Amino acid sequence: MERKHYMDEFENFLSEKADQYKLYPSDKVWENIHKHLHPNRRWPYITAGLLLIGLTFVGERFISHSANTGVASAVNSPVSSETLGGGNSSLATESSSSVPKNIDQNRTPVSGKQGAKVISMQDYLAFRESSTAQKATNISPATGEAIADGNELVFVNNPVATVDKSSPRLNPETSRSFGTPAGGAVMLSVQREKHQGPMDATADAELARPWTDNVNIRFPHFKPNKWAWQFYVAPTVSYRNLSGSMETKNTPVQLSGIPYIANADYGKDVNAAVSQRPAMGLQVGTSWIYSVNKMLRLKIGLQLNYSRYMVNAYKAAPERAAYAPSDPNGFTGYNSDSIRLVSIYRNFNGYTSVDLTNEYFQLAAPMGAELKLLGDRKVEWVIAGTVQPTYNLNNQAYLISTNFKNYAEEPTLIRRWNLATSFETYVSISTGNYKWQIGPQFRYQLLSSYKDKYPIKEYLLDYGFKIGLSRTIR
Amino acid sequence: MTEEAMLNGCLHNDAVAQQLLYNRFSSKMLSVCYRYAKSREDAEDMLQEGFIKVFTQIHQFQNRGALEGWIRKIVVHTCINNLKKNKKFAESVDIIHASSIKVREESVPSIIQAKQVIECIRILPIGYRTVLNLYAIEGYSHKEIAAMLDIEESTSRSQYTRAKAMLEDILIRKNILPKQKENTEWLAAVKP
Repeated sequence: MERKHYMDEFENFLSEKADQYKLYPSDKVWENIHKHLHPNRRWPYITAGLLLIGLTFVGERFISHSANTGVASAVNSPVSSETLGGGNSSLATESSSSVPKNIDQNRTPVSGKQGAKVISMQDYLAFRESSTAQKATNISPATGEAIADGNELVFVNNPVATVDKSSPRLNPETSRSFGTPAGGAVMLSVQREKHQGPMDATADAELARPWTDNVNIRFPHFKPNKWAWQFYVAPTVSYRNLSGSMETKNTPVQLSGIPYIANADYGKDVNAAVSQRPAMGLQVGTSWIYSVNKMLRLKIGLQLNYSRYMVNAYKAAPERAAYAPSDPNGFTGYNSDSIRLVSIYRNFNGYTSVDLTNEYFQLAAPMGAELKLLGDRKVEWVIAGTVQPTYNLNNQAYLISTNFKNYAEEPTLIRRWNLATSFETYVSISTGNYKWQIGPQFRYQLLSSYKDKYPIKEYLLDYGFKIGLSRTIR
Repeated sequence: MTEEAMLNGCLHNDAVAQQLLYNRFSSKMLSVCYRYAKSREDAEDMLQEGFIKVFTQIHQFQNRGALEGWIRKIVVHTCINNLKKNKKFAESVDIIHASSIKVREESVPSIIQAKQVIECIRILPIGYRTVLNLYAIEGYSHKEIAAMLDIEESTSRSQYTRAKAMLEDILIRKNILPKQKENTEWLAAVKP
């Protein structure tokens, strides 16, 4: 700062001594400054990714629970005449006119787990035929057992409960009930009391009537479970394809300023100028899968990608490096519009070798299809492909300068949005509602990682082995 | 590496260039902070805050003067702002007479003269010290100091006069300055 006043000898003395005095700050100061200027954004994104996966899982559970609750509510809600078959021929309506009090008052909603007997449609039909033929008192042993023990018949996939056998007015042996919830449900309930009384004759008459007259039976519609939710992890090996050169249309670039580049091919192909090797990455994601038919499935999801690879470089004295020249005639660097950075890494001829890690954190939305090639319901062999719009969440990428001499970071040259595609094949094994899948996959970035003004193009490649678990949403 | 390249890198938020700039000026700036701060830790906190301001405001530097002067100005203002947050400083900077201070041999480490001088400055009451730093070392005028510290210009002058006399006495007692003159009137208040 310029002195704005007269300084006497004493002040000069103080100023001189103050200038001579130096203190060296601890490393922590720079670390804090660096953290402030270049915040590490990995953890927020990883946290967001885990949260996303967690929310997906909870969402899937919620959907699954809602589907079950729909059935349960149909079971637990009071059964109206409409739910008992609809129309004017409901047996429940008939029954209510004949033995209304017993049925209505003694029916206790229970869940399918509370002693409900689950039988198949075939059993039900057999039961119905035998009942029609033999009347209620002469039912077959098999169906009779079902009725006597549980007082209820429940179709597979549509568990319902009907009559409470604890009522002293009901005789389990002679009370029968069939029921399904609303929407394709079948429910009929016939009850006869063995107690002597005025009801007996009416009840017997009801049971003697052909069932088809009384019940409008709608057979349950067995909908296949078309939706599934999937979570997967894929350890990957990441690499990149580079393209671009220092050459202009007609004139080779002047390399006089780069004496250590002896190989003329460096000017033609960037791949010849860089030394790099793959590194481990990771993909984690979740998908919703919709079965179009037995062979074809569509899927959409969210996926977090962590891709990285190593670049061999050398530490060197800080020097200026040119990036993204706007000069259409070539990479002459250092023109006024080019991006110039300070680099401490050289591609060649540094004083110590160093491995630079280029890494990308991306969020992708894979959309694609799966095709079953072979297999049955237990084991399948499937091929799949997706297109993945990708957003670059964060990255650390050392870019090679346009004269292939240096490496430096320049986040402004990294493309935020990108597009990738992936292909995979896997074998899946079903275990109940769950399906495990394992198989190789390949992911390729369709657009360069860098913006167009940077003449080098980079396309990321990920070779992975995907392990997935999917669950049918019921 | 040229200053221009370093500045250009800092303008692009390049970590390497930022570290180079930091390495070049941090030691000098820490000594500036140290003269204002209560402790070394406080000085480092001030330095950190100052450099963050430097890097975030580097686009405002327009190559009109020396980069060091611009950085120093930011760091000094950061120090002053930190001091102003302290109530004791606000009281201290307004007082007319500082209470007497004891100068003992062990309170001034005898390493090098520059360090001795700085440590002697740090012995001064914070109000005196701040005005003395700003006027004698940083080169601000009393008018500017008054504006910076929210005090009267006359207060700044009187604070400086007393600070200077007190420091001279300390330096003489520590044999850093030769005994060229008699004790001034305030020296009576300084107990050996």
